Amino acid sequence: MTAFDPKARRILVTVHVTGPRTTLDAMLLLDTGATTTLIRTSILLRTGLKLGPNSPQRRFRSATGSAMAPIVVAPQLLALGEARADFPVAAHDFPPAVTFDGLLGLDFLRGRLLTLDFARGRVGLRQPRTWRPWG
Amino acid sequence: MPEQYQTLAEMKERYPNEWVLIGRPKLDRYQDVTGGHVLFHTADRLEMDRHMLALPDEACTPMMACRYMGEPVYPEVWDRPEFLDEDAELRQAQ
Repeated sequence: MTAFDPKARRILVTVHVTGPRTTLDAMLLLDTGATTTLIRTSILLRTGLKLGPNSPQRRFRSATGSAMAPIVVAPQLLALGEARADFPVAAHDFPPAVTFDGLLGLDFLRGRLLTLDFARGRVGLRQPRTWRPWG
Repeated sequence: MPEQYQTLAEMKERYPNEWVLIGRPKLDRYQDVTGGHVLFHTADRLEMDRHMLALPDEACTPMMACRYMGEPVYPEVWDRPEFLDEDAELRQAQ
Protein backbone atom coordinates (compact mmCIF):
# COMPACT_ATOMS: atom_id res chain seq x y z
CA MET A 1 0.00 0.00 0.00
CA THR A 2 1.07 3.57 -0.52
CA ALA A 3 -0.41 6.88 0.56
CA PHE A 4 -2.15 9.46 -1.62
CA ASP A 5 -4.05 12.66 -0.99
CA PRO A 6 -7.74 11.66 -1.28
CA LYS A 7 -8.79 15.32 -1.63
CA ALA A 8 -6.46 16.13 -4.52
CA ARG A 9 -7.67 16.46 -8.11
CA ARG A 10 -5.50 13.55 -9.22
CA ILE A 11 -3.87 10.53 -7.57
CA LEU A 12 -0.10 10.84 -7.34
CA VAL A 13 1.90 7.81 -6.25
CA THR A 14 5.53 7.14 -5.45
CA VAL A 15 7.39 5.01 -7.98
CA HIS A 16 10.95 3.70 -7.61
CA VAL A 17 12.66 3.39 -10.97
CA THR A 18 15.76 1.20 -10.83
CA GLY A 19 18.29 1.36 -13.63
CA PRO A 20 21.83 0.06 -14.02
CA ARG A 21 23.36 2.97 -12.07
CA THR A 22 20.89 4.08 -9.42
CA THR A 23 17.33 4.03 -8.16
CA LEU A 24 15.33 7.21 -8.54
CA ASP A 25 12.11 7.84 -6.69
CA ALA A 26 9.57 9.96 -8.58
CA MET A 27 5.90 10.92 -8.35
CA LEU A 28 3.70 9.51 -11.10
CA LEU A 29 0.06 10.12 -11.83
CA LEU A 30 -2.03 6.97 -11.44
CA ASP A 31 -3.85 7.04 -14.77
CA THR A 32 -6.21 4.24 -15.76
CA GLY A 33 -6.83 6.16 -18.97
CA ALA A 34 -3.25 5.53 -20.11
CA THR A 35 -2.51 2.10 -21.54
CA THR A 36 1.24 2.56 -21.29
CA THR A 37 3.40 3.78 -18.42
CA LEU A 38 5.32 6.92 -19.34
CA ILE A 39 8.21 8.41 -17.38
CA ARG A 40 10.06 11.68 -17.87
CA THR A 41 13.14 11.08 -20.02
CA SER A 42 15.58 12.71 -17.58
CA ILE A 43 14.49 10.36 -14.78
CA LEU A 44 15.14 7.30 -16.94
CA LEU A 45 18.51 8.57 -18.14
CA ARG A 46 19.64 9.42 -14.60
CA THR A 47 19.08 5.81 -13.52
CA GLY A 48 21.50 4.75 -16.25
CA LEU A 49 18.98 3.54 -18.82
CA LYS A 50 20.09 4.18 -22.37
CA LEU A 51 18.02 5.87 -25.04
CA GLY A 52 19.37 6.01 -28.52
CA PRO A 53 18.47 5.96 -32.18
CA ASN A 54 18.20 2.16 -31.99
CA SER A 55 15.73 2.15 -29.09
CA PRO A 56 12.38 0.60 -29.98
CA GLN A 57 9.76 3.26 -30.59
CA ARG A 58 6.00 3.50 -30.36
CA ARG A 59 3.89 6.09 -32.08
CA PHE A 60 1.63 8.22 -29.91
CA ARG A 61 -0.65 11.15 -30.52
CA SER A 62 -1.39 14.20 -28.44
CA ALA A 63 -3.16 17.50 -28.99
CA THR A 64 -0.10 18.79 -30.82
CA GLY A 65 0.07 15.88 -33.26
CA SER A 66 1.68 12.48 -33.38
CA ALA A 67 5.25 11.56 -32.51
CA MET A 68 7.40 8.59 -31.58
CA ALA A 69 8.27 7.66 -27.99
CA PRO A 70 11.29 5.51 -27.24
CA ILE A 71 10.64 2.42 -25.12
CA VAL A 72 13.18 1.32 -22.51
CA VAL A 73 13.12 -1.69 -20.22
CA ALA A 74 13.62 -0.76 -16.57
CA PRO A 75 15.31 -3.54 -14.56
CA GLN A 76 12.80 -2.83 -11.81
CA LEU A 77 9.77 -0.64 -11.28
CA LEU A 78 8.34 -0.57 -7.76
CA ALA A 79 4.99 1.07 -7.17
CA LEU A 80 1.96 0.54 -4.94
CA GLY A 81 3.86 -2.18 -3.08
CA GLU A 82 4.35 -4.23 -6.24
CA ALA A 83 7.70 -4.73 -7.96
CA ARG A 84 7.94 -5.53 -11.66
CA ALA A 85 11.16 -6.74 -13.22
CA ASP A 86 12.24 -5.84 -16.75
CA PHE A 87 9.27 -3.55 -17.20
CA PRO A 88 9.00 -1.59 -20.46
CA VAL A 89 8.21 2.12 -20.12
CA ALA A 90 7.90 4.92 -22.64
CA ALA A 91 10.20 7.91 -22.27
CA HIS A 92 8.39 11.22 -22.58
CA ASP A 93 9.30 14.86 -22.11
CA PHE A 94 6.45 16.33 -20.11
CA PRO A 95 6.03 20.09 -20.14
CA PRO A 96 8.19 21.75 -17.45
CA ALA A 97 5.10 23.21 -15.77
CA VAL A 98 3.78 19.74 -14.96
CA THR A 99 4.84 18.84 -11.41
CA PHE A 100 4.83 15.07 -11.73
CA ASP A 101 7.22 12.79 -13.56
CA GLY A 102 5.02 10.45 -15.52
CA LEU A 103 1.93 8.29 -15.76
CA LEU A 104 1.52 4.91 -14.13
CA GLY A 105 -0.66 3.24 -16.71
CA LEU A 106 -2.82 0.18 -17.17
CA ASP A 107 0.11 -1.99 -18.23
CA PHE A 108 1.40 -1.86 -14.64
CA LEU A 109 -2.03 -2.69 -13.20
CA ARG A 110 -3.18 -5.54 -15.45
CA GLY A 111 -3.66 -8.92 -13.80
CA ARG A 112 -3.52 -7.39 -10.32
CA LEU A 113 -6.09 -6.28 -7.77
CA LEU A 114 -6.07 -2.48 -7.38
CA THR A 115 -7.46 -1.15 -4.11
CA LEU A 116 -8.28 2.54 -3.77
CA ASP A 117 -9.23 3.59 -0.24
CA PHE A 118 -10.44 7.17 -0.38
CA ALA A 119 -11.40 7.10 3.30
CA ARG A 120 -7.81 6.57 4.45
CA GLY A 121 -5.92 7.82 1.38
CA ARG A 122 -4.31 4.48 0.62
CA VAL A 123 -3.80 2.73 -2.69
CA GLY A 124 -2.42 -0.75 -3.14
CA LEU A 125 -1.83 -3.37 -5.78
CA ARG A 126 -1.51 -7.09 -5.17
CA GLN A 127 -1.77 -10.48 -6.77
CA PRO A 128 -5.38 -11.61 -6.72
CA ARG A 129 -6.07 -14.84 -4.85
CA THR A 130 -9.47 -15.79 -6.17
CA TRP A 131 -10.27 -12.82 -8.38
CA ARG A 132 -10.89 -13.54 -12.08
CA PRO A 133 -11.29 -10.85 -14.73
CA TRP A 134 -14.83 -11.79 -15.76
CA GLY A 135 -15.95 -13.94 -12.82
CA MET B 1 28.67 18.43 -0.61
CA PRO B 2 25.12 17.43 0.31
CA GLU B 3 23.36 19.34 3.02
CA GLN B 4 22.50 17.78 6.36
CA TYR B 5 19.45 15.58 6.76
CA GLN B 6 16.12 17.39 6.48
CA THR B 7 12.58 16.17 6.75
CA LEU B 8 10.27 16.63 3.79
CA ALA B 9 8.34 19.23 5.82
CA GLU B 10 11.55 21.21 6.37
CA MET B 11 12.35 21.04 2.66
CA LYS B 12 8.87 22.30 1.79
CA GLU B 13 9.40 25.25 4.13
CA ARG B 14 12.91 26.01 2.85
CA TYR B 15 12.32 25.48 -0.86
CA PRO B 16 8.67 26.33 -1.53
CA ASN B 17 7.50 25.59 -5.07
CA GLU B 18 10.91 24.26 -6.05
CA TRP B 19 12.12 20.93 -7.39
CA VAL B 20 14.46 19.16 -4.98
CA LEU B 21 16.84 16.28 -5.70
CA ILE B 22 17.16 14.26 -2.50
CA GLY B 23 20.04 11.93 -1.76
CA ARG B 24 19.78 8.92 0.54
CA PRO B 25 16.03 9.44 1.05
CA LYS B 26 14.45 8.01 4.17
CA LEU B 27 11.29 6.06 3.41
CA ASP B 28 8.31 5.23 5.58
CA ARG B 29 6.43 1.93 5.64
CA TYR B 30 4.51 3.00 2.52
CA GLN B 31 7.80 3.58 0.63
CA ASP B 32 7.14 7.32 0.63
CA VAL B 33 9.99 9.77 1.16
CA THR B 34 9.99 11.39 4.61
CA GLY B 35 13.37 13.14 4.39
CA GLY B 36 16.92 13.02 3.11
CA HIS B 37 19.87 15.14 2.03
CA VAL B 38 19.25 17.92 -0.48
CA LEU B 39 21.65 17.52 -3.40
CA PHE B 40 20.18 20.26 -5.59
CA HIS B 41 17.15 22.54 -5.73
CA THR B 42 15.68 24.84 -8.33
CA ALA B 43 12.35 26.30 -9.37
CA ASP B 44 13.11 25.49 -13.00
CA ARG B 45 12.30 21.93 -14.01
CA LEU B 46 14.52 22.09 -17.09
CA GLU B 47 17.44 23.15 -14.90
CA MET B 48 16.73 20.17 -12.65
CA ASP B 49 16.79 17.88 -15.68
CA ARG B 50 20.10 19.35 -16.85
CA HIS B 51 21.60 19.01 -13.38
CA MET B 52 20.45 15.41 -12.95
CA LEU B 53 22.00 14.42 -16.26
CA ALA B 54 25.26 16.26 -15.59
CA LEU B 55 25.65 14.83 -12.09
CA PRO B 56 28.70 12.52 -12.05
CA ASP B 57 28.04 8.98 -10.89
CA GLU B 58 30.26 9.41 -7.83
CA ALA B 59 28.06 12.29 -6.65
CA CYS B 60 24.95 10.10 -6.82
CA THR B 61 23.72 8.03 -3.91
CA PRO B 62 22.40 4.49 -4.52
CA MET B 63 18.91 5.91 -4.19
CA MET B 64 17.70 9.42 -4.90
CA ALA B 65 14.34 11.11 -5.09
CA CYS B 66 13.02 13.98 -7.17
CA ARG B 67 10.20 15.94 -5.54
CA TYR B 68 8.25 19.14 -6.15
CA MET B 69 7.91 21.15 -2.92
CA GLY B 70 4.59 22.75 -3.60
CA GLU B 71 1.02 21.98 -4.43
CA PRO B 72 0.87 19.73 -7.49
CA VAL B 73 0.27 21.59 -10.74
CA TYR B 74 -1.87 19.85 -13.32
CA PRO B 75 -2.43 21.14 -16.82
CA GLU B 76 -5.79 22.86 -17.28
CA VAL B 77 -6.33 20.81 -20.39
CA TRP B 78 -4.75 17.42 -19.97
CA ASP B 79 -2.94 16.48 -23.15
CA ARG B 80 -2.32 12.82 -22.36
CA PRO B 81 -0.22 11.07 -25.00
CA GLU B 82 -2.22 8.19 -26.48
CA PHE B 83 -0.48 5.31 -28.18
CA LEU B 84 -1.89 4.55 -31.58
CA ASP B 85 -1.74 0.78 -31.22
CA GLU B 86 -3.81 0.82 -28.01
CA ASP B 87 -6.59 -1.29 -29.48
CA ALA B 88 -4.20 -4.08 -30.46
CA GLU B 89 -2.63 -3.91 -27.01
CA LEU B 90 -6.02 -4.18 -25.32
CA ARG B 91 -7.03 -7.16 -27.49
CA GLN B 92 -3.76 -8.88 -26.60
CA ALA B 93 -4.36 -8.27 -22.88
CA GLN B 94 -7.80 -9.84 -23.08
